[in-house]
Formats: sequence, structure tokens, C-alpha cells
Amino acid sequence: MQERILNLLSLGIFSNLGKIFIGLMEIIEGIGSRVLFLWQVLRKIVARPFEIRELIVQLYLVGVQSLGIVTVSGFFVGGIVAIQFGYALNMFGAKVYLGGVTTSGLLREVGPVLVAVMITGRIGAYIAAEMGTMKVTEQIDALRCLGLDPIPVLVVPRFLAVLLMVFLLTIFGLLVSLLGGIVTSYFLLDVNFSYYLVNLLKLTTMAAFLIGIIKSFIFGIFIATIACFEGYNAEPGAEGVGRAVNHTLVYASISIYMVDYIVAALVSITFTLAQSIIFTIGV
Amino acid sequence: MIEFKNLYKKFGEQPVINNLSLLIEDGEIFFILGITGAGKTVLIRMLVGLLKPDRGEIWLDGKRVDRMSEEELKELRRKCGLIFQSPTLFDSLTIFENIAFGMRRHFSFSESEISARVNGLLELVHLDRELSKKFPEELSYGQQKRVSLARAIALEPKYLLYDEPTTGLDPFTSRQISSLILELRQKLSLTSIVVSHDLESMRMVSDRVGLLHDGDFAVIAKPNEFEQSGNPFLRRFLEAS
Amino acid sequence: MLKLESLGLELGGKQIFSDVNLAVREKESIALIGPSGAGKTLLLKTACGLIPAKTGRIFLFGQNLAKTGFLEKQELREKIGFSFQQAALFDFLDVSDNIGFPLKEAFDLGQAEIKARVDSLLKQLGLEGAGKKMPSQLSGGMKKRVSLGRAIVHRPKLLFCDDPTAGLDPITSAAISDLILKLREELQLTLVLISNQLSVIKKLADRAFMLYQGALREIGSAKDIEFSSGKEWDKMVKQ
Repeated sequence: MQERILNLLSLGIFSNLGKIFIGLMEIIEGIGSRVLFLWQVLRKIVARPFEIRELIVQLYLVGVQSLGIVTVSGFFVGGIVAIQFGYALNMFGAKVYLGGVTTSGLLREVGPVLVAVMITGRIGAYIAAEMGTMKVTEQIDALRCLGLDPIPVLVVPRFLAVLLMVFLLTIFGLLVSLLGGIVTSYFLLDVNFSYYLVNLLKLTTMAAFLIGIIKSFIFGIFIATIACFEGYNAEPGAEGVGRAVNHTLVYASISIYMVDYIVAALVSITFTLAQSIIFTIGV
Repeated sequence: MIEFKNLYKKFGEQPVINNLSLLIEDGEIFFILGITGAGKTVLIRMLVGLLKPDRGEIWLDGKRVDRMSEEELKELRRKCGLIFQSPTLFDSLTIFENIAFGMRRHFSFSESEISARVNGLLELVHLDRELSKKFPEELSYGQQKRVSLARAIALEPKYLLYDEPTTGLDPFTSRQISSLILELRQKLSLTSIVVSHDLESMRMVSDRVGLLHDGDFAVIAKPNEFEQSGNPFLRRFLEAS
Repeated sequence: MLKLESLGLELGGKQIFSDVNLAVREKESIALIGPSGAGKTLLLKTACGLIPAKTGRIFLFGQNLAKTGFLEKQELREKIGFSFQQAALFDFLDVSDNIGFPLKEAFDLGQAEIKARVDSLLKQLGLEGAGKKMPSQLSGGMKKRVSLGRAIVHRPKLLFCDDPTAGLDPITSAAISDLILKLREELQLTLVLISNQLSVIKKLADRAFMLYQGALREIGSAKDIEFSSGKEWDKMVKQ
């Protein structure tokens, strides 16, 4: 490590600038190739014949594998959020509003992000490893030599399965975390059940729900694309598969947080804009 | 009919295929001998479009292979099957599903037809029907190799390319595979290319043999003439076996 | 040197082999042949204690493995070399480090001495100049050479070679078997070899044994083996 820093310093400004430039180019190239891959996958979704059997198998695998972890983490996170907000609200004597506050946060942020990260770890890594191993053991080449296109046969079912499941599991996760919130509020914070629900419905907006859902869909696209890309393009050897999994976890997680940030920023900007327009018109 | 014209392919510094030309007749079994890394595998991979030559032309049945799109290559690969050195079976599928895989997507057979065909194919490669429910990992290496053969034949190809079919097998199993290659050629009217360094197999199956050395064929002859050849590299090869 | 008495192995509920008896004298070379999947590799690994046997006894250098403690086993291992079928090189180390690995880990030799030994071994193996290469850059033949190097760098007395020429073309195969012959001479090794290639067996082994259907049978002198047409494995066994 020390050597590398010394090397960098000794090379002078232009060399280092050059390296940064190349690094940027590499990032752009990386993003570009993944976008191209996504495009190829999307095109082939409509290709006949559609691998319905494969899709069902993948839906089952992805769904079943993630169900446990989404349930458990959903429930507990729901509870945690309730506790955190609960104590704060309590200080203002506003415990009753707990239902609304927690749900809003869960719907918009925690729910989608949490489920997405869970699925990245469980499914993303699994798909990257499975396809990576197939690539490395020449099974994908063997498929091509049978006169078949690996994208519609292998990638599309997995891609669609991840998309659909991220979506469904997010909804499921939200419901579970609601349950966690309710249970925790009732037993630990002594919030009345009906108050919780009433305020939940009052303070939760359709917008929050929709934003959460749309976000989960976008996360799904990122996870599916990255996992399939890394596996499909894995380099030879055990190292290659390991790296494919590693890249999937890192890139997908980063993408999720970045997208989350951007969406949140966009929403708030739009909101503020909308409010000021309404205000101006009102005036 | 298969034709290679003035092929050139380079990986890194040295050319692996250097101005190679060859015509393969229909119904022939052409055997390609050479040391590891000589380019034997590269040649057959170029024939099915997995690799593209740097220069030269590849023709199969009057069509130019090296200029084909991925879409056009699909039909070529059905007609000209490449059987890899390692079995490359799909490990999450049963033997039955492995063999039926290509069949289901290229042809529109009913389930019962597929079943009948898979059983027929297993018989053709001398494997027991019982194996169809098993998974690749439960089969021996030799058995897996036969399944990968069956999987390729399921597409009713005209040409079969065997990449080191007997490498890694014990002497008796090797012989069985070699006779299977002959049997299949006869029963299915195939044109075959066998890439290998197994001399016994060469003696058993080949109509013509080519020694690949330094990117081109140093010798091409019928098996008995081949062994009489005075080519120095060939002599070294034969003596070492 | 190596003595196996009524050795039996079971894996995953299946009986791999049973009642295996084998005695290998010092400086002798024996070849183990048989159909693939018969358990030859497992027999080798059991014989040097890598896998626990179900029944029977193993005597390495006169010592009963079952009665040796951990440290003593380590000492015994230092006298054995094992060359794996798939070369099994460490992907993340270069050629020199791969070969020098046993010296670094198991012995207390200084850096300079290790380097000297590895360098001279590289010359012997015909790998001069390849010291810094990574396994992924090596051809099959070169990988086998490195694997052999790693197996004998610590000057063992007993060498186990699992199919050293598997999948290699005749010329490379001959080079590898010549190399083993040379090493055997120089280090006065006792050799236990798995192979189904006649040329290799005849060059390297004195006696031959067949592992077939769970039993080990002596075939006799290695020079007399033939894989003649029409015979199958069971017909090769002399009574």
C-alpha cells in the first residue's frame, strides 16, 4: 500500500490526471456495457419461444429463498422503527401518531431499500455464482453449440423472476414490518391498536406507497441486470466466479443507495416546486 | 462439405493457425492430431463460430461461416454439433432433460415423442434407460461424455465435431467411444472431425489424418500412409506414444 | 516403506474398497491401474492419511498411522510428496511460491535457502524463467511440472503421483514421465503411481496392481501389461 502511494506521488501531476481520466473512462465503459446488456435482455424478453417453465422455476427459487429473510428482517425492522420513533413521539405526548409516522418511513425508505439489499445478498449473489459457474464450466458455450441463445433461455427467466419478486417481496416485507410495528407498539410502547391503525391510514399517503413501489421496481432492475451481467461475463477459474459474486454485491448495493438518494432528492424537489407553484397560483 | 481457406488466427504473439487450408468430404471422418495448444480446438471452434478467424474463409454447405451473425449461427450449430472435451452437461437438470433440452426448442415434438426419442438416443450411445432420471454428478466421466454425445445427436446434425473424445478415459472406455464414433457415422450418415492425440483412436476411426503443427497441417494422409511418413515432427510424435 | 493391511474405505454410505493389502519396498515403484471411478485416487489419499480409513491398518515408514500423534504425523508427511491429478496449484501464488510453499510452511528454512532450492529445481524441471508466472498462464504440461516440483521440493522419500500424464499429448506426456524417472533416480524415491497409460507404466513402474470393483489385485511385472483388444479389466488379472 505504501509503495503504491509513493508510486503515485512520484509520477507527477499529468500522469496522475491521466490515470484518473482512464479510471473514469473505465467506469463509463463498465456502465455502458451493462446498459447494453440490459438492452439485449429486454429485447429478448419478447422473443419466441418464451421460457415459461424456466420462469416458473426461477420465480419459485427466488421467492422461496428470500421469503424467510424478508419476513424475519421485515418484522424486526418494523419493530425497531416503532421503538425509535415511539420514544421520540412520547416526549411530545404524541404516541398516538406512531402508526402514521413509522409507516411513512417504512413505505418510502426502509422497506424498499431493506428488501432490495436482502435480495441482493441472497438472490443476486446466487444468480451471479450460478451463471458464473455455468460460464466457467463452458455450459453456456455448450448451450450456444446446441443452436440456442443463452439470453432468452438462461438470463431472461432469471431477470424477470428477480424483477417480479423484488416487487412482490417489497409489498410483503412492508406488510410484515407493519405487523412488527403494531406488535411492538402494543406490547412495548402501550399504543392502542385502533389509534395506531387510524393514524396509519390518515397520515400515510398514496404517494408514499407508490414511490416505495416504484423504487423497488427500479432496484429490481439494477439487481437483476448486475447479477446476470457479472455471472454471464465471469472470468475463468474459481477466482472469476468469486469476483462475479463480489462485484454483484458491491455494485448492486451501491446502485441501490444511489438510486434511493436520487429518487428522494427528485421527489423532494418536485414536491417543493409543486408547493411553490400552488402557492404562487394561490396568491 | 466443409472447407477452410487460408485461415489465420493469432492469440498474442504467435499465430495459432497459419495459412491453413483443408477440404473435408461428406461422410468422411477426419482426424486432427497435434500437441496441446497446437490449435486443434481453435480450428473447430472457428467452424461453429465460437471464434472468428483473423483472416481467411470457412465454408460449410456452401455458406460462409465466418461472416454469419449470431442468429444465423444458431441453425449452423444445430446442423454441425460440437462436443466439448469436458461433458458440460447442465448440472441442475436430469439426464433426460439434458438430452431433451435442444430438442424441445428446435423441434415441436409432443412429450411422448420426446420421451421416445430420448430413450432411443440413450440406446444409441449404449447407455441404460434408467440413467435418464439421474443427475450428471451421479454418472461416471465416461457416461457423462456419452450423454453429451446424445444431447448433440438429438438435434439431428449432419456434422459432428469431437473435441478430444477419449482424453481422460481409460483404455477400454476409449475404445468403446472410438467404436461409437464409427457407429454413429454409419447410422446417422455423419461427416465427422475428431480432434485428439489418441493414436489408437486414430487408427480405429480415421479416413484421413492431419497433423497440426506450427499453425498448419504438416502431413495429411490416410492412417497407414500417415504412420509411414518421414516427417520429423510426426516421427517424434509417434515414438513418444 | 508403505504397508497397507486389510484397508477398507467407505464414503457416503458406499463401500469404495475393502481388504486392500499392499506392501511397497524401499526404492520400489508400483503402478496402480483400473477403471476410472474405481477409487484409485481415494486409495492413494487414504494411504497417506489424507482421508480416514474405515478398516485396516496403514504403516508408513514402519509406523502405524493410527497410533501416531499429530506432531509425529506431521513429521511423516514431511517425508511424503503428493502430486495431484488436477495439479491443484495455488491460483494466487506464482510458480516459485507454489513450489516453495511446502518449504515455507512446514520447514524452518531461511528465505535465501528456499529461493536457492526453488531456483535449482526450476532448472531441473525445465521451468527456468517461469518462476514469476501465475498458474493461469501455464499450459497443462507446465502445470504438471510445477505440481511435481512442489511434491518433491522437500526431498521426500516416498512420492505419490496421481495420473501425472492425464490428458497430455504424447510428446508432453513423454517429457513428464522422463522427468519423473530422472527425479526418481536423483532422490532415490519410492514411487506409487496411478496411471492407465502403458508407456508411462512401463517406463516408471516395477510392479503393477489393479483396483477393480473394490479389490486390489496384483497384476505382476509392469513390463508384462497389455491392454489387448477383447480383454476387459477383469480379464487382465492374473490368478
